[in-house]
Amino acid sequence: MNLEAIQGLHAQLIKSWPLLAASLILGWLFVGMTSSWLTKAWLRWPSAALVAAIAWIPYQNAPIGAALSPISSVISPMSMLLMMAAIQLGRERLFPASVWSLLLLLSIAIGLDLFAISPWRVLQWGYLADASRFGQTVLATVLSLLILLIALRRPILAALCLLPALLWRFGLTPSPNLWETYLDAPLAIAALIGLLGHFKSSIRPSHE
Amino acid sequence: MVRRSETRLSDQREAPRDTRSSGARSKTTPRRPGSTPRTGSGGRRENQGTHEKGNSSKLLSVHPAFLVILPLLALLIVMSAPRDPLPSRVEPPIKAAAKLMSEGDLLHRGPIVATPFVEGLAVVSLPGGRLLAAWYGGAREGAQDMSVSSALFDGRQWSVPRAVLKPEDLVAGSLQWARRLGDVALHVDRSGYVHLFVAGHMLSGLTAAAIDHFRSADGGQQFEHYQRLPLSPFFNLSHAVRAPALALKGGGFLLPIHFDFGAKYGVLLRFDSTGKLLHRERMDGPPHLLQPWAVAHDERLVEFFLRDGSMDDPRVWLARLDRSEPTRALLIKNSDSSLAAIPSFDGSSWLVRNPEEKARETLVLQRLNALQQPTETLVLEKGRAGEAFSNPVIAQTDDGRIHILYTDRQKRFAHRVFRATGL
Repeated sequence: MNLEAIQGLHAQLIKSWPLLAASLILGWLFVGMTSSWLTKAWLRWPSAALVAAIAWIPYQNAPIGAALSPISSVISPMSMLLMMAAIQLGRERLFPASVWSLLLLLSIAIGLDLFAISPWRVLQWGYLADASRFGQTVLATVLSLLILLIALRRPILAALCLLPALLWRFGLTPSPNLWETYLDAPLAIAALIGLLGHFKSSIRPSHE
Repeated sequence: MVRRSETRLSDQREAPRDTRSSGARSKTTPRRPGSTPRTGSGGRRENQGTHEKGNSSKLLSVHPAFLVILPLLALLIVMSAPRDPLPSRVEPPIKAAAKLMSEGDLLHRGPIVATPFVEGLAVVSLPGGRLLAAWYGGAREGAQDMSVSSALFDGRQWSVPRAVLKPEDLVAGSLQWARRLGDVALHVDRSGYVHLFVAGHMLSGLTAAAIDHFRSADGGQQFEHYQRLPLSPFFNLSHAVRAPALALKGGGFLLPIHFDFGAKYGVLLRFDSTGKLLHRERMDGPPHLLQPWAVAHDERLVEFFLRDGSMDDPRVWLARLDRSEPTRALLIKNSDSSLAAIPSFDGSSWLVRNPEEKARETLVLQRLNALQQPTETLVLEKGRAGEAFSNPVIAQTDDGRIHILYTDRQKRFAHRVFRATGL
């Protein structure tokens, strides 16, 4: 395979990214809703794949999954990885509270920057071409901390979580921004829910 | 209710499960010897001892070297990214004369339009004194049938406009949903590619837009989808385009856009010579400035005139690319209306704007002095109360003529041409 073919494949992958994300969202949602019945991983994966195929059904000018693009086009590679991990793991908790806390704090920091509330240029530090050494250091520290916190509980998943950063480093991700490779609005909401779930489970026994 | 262990990842010694089910099990089913507790970071109080034991066993199950290597790898990946300093040099454009005179009323009609409502005109100069214009229009403001049309000015007259983009083209090209099209911006790069940036609105209303990037290799006859610009991780909302891009030395270009979702601020996007997005940078200033319009006085001195969206004493604002001066309000009123500007030979600028505080029935071309104060005013339009002459754009062609186009009551476009005088 020559370089041009690889570049063409990459361009096609980037173009199909919203559809791939839409497929995965559908499959993941289905597995999440039927987790009581789909107790085995070898049952969950084919079911998810079957439901995911719905996104590719042609409808008018584009596949039906394109209608999900306001959400699916901003799904980060990290979110896709986590959805796949969730399909594999079933109803097990994916992360400890510390990981969800870090993801939530990052989302808040980027949100504050996006809405011009904070003077920090957190969002622009994430771009591959950003020239700020301080920004690069912050970025590296945060990512290292995230990977460490994940590795404490799930080492192999932590190793896989390096993959989006590696793709970003070589300019192969849909966005040249590292934050967008690791964060998105649905993941921020999931982090909040995950964190609340942890608080809820830690508070509940004291009332029993 | 006991679940099978094959549902876990192989690296997972024991992961916490649904608390209710584990709680139910702990009440009804005796714990198997050697099993680890099924709680997360918030474990059950009665299991606290075993929980800590479980956690420590989890930590021990991971080799310490692994815990060191993985974050180090992350550090290495980020720190090895090439730091690409933002180029502070731009291709200096042709400068306008310090004295201008109108070429008369011959060209007062802009491009012919085919829809009852038109808005968001963008123009870019082409070699040979030509202009390429693009705009969006439809049955009425906010209608879903908005399409983007373009027309070519050959130096004497405008060509018949053609619809180059419809919402369904955007959906088919990008595989992403768009409800309707909005503001556009144009740029022609060194290779001759015409870049068209268009705001694709996903929801009703003006703010919920993402910017789609199209390219044309045939001078703007046909456009193909190139990318949807990834500008924020939060649903990619909500940016808008208006002003033309600035060509950078060594290839690439700088596109000034703005963010508009509650807060309003200018944003600079940098692209490489192939049109790939490299960087997004938030401009300085209070959160009510939008639509930055770049004026390049020389390779290094680039100023941006910004529209003021505040309710309290709105002014024209000025920012610098190199941040050598803070973003500041000028002593020029702004009625929350769009501006356009070009540099002049003497280091000042020509500014097109609506001079009234709250209305857009008058449109003027003004020359600013070195202190950014208006020194000379040419009235372009003076309409009746309630009429609007808005969204001006200005461009200079290589034959030295200055072209000003603007929306005439949102129904058609007007085109005024000026040339140097006294030379």
